[in-house]
Amino acid sequence: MTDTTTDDRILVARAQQGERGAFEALFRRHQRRVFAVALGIVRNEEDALDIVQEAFIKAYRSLPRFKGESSFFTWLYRITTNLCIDHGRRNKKHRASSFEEQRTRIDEDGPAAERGAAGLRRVTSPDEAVARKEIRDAFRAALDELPEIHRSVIVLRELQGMSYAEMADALGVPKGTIMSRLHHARRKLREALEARGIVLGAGDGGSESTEGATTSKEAVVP
Amino acid sequence: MSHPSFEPETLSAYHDGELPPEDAARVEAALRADPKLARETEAIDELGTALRAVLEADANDVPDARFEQIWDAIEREIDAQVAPESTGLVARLRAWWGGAWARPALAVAGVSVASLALFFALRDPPRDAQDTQVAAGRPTPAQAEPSPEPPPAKAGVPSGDVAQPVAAPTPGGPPALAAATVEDDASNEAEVEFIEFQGSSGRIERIEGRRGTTTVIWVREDEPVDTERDL
Amino acid sequence: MKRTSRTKHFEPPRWTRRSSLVGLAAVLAVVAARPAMAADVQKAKCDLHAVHLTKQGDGSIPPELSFLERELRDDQFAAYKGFRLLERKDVVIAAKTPTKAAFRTGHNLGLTLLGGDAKRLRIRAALSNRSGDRTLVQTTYAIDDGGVFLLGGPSYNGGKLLFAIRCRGQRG
Repeated sequence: MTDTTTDDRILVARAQQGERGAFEALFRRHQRRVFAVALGIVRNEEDALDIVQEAFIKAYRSLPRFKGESSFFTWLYRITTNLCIDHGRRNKKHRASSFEEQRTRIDEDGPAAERGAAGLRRVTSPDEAVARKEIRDAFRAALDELPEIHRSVIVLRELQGMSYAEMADALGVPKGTIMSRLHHARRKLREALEARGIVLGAGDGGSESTEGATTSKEAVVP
Repeated sequence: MSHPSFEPETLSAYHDGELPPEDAARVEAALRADPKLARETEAIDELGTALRAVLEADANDVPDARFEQIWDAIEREIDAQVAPESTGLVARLRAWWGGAWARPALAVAGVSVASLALFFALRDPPRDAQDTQVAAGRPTPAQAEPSPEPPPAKAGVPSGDVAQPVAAPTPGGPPALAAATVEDDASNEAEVEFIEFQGSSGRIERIEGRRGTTTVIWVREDEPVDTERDL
Repeated sequence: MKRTSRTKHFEPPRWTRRSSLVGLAAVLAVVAARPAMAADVQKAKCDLHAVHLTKQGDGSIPPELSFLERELRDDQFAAYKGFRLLERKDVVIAAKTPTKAAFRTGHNLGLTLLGGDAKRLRIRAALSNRSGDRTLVQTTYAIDDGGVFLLGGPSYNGGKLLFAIRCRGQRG
């Protein structure tokens, strides 16, 4: 058990006693990660922020029923996922245009890590590297191209670390379907990235090794 | 990538640790024999790592103030319900809400209330605009309230309890609270060469504007968590 | 090459580790990429403003903060509706000599002039907490002469504090 999980438990116990500050601390701790999950699935910044708000309100209301059988963040991310899925059902029409507008606005300002690294030039930290505009743009565009069912599985898996059984439970489909969807999601995402010059898994002297591959490898080292 | 001895999604499931041991052993044997297949698993790994990094970077683009607003909304919601629901009450409400008659009845009641509200709203002239004007004309509590901390008595006079090796009164300096417009045309473009958040966390943000980019360093004083680890 | 479940990647501490990572990168940056700057400015006159940001208020910016109006209207401050100048301090900072400004809120802002020329100044700033026993952040930055640099975030009286630092080099 990590310290964070332990700390979460302490905070959850206090919040269950009605201590507002403890719940606020939980919010502060998880706000951005919950947002990242929601954004990964719904691909609209404002909708994702709404989901963050709704998820924490729902979590607060359900606190008396939270028994700590799973960790708080697993539970919270499950709530978030369900809200994203509900959102997807309500908004069948993908609102790519509004996301495009937001993206343009963000890009005008420059990526966060680049902004954060104002003056940290020549530092090849992973955060800075991954923030490189072309890589982020390629990923955003590739993610936008994926159907929501594929985005859901890949975000649940990669960002939330859900098992296939947990995803099957959350999405209400058989485990075999999850396995198949995840495979297709990864394949489609890779193809979409390759179409934009980002090649994965081609390093280590492989015959496909290209400049693009090197770029992508540099970009993803955690 | 397909492989003669197993389905394409098997490699993905192997990467995720989702295969039964006998299938996993089969994939491992194939990986040892086929470097291309090994690179495929690396690609899956890289894809996941990059995806997380990109989404995290996107999440970091959101200003703290936006989350502040969300927290405010959550607090309002919490205040509205006073305390977390008690399970008994929830159960009773759910039972009531689950009744077949409850939703139509509430819908009818809602429409009635809305109709009444609309009726009264149309009858009374809107008073909000007048109220707003009046409010704007008088000082707000914050403005009316005398500042608990008086303005600095004299520009540049250092506090007595802290060593001030060089600080000195600014000779001929502008009046304490009036200054600030002289250098309005100066650019705020700053280059952060070094930053270290000690015992806390923080972010560097930028504000784009007429005078270039203004840098804001936001420090977050992390909520200390008690050291009771045995709860 | 056995792959296992990668749940470990998703634990929240990564968010908090980011700052230390940035800090580490910044240390490397300052060693590797310190810009050459003529050190012909030996002193700088700085005005420091401690601003109280609160969620209650009508959103108006008082005249004494008009120089920050554009910044305070930015999304960064969207959550705040009250802006009040708590205190202003005017100090002179000298090259390579730390100067500490103690605010009535209890926070100390340490400033050191690291160098500069007619157009640009290099300054080190360190902000400590209310009890003065812990540095919240320290940073080195280069800024145009007369430019405003902002440090914000410490909690104070139900709101947050924002410190505005503006320095002008003094020649000779």
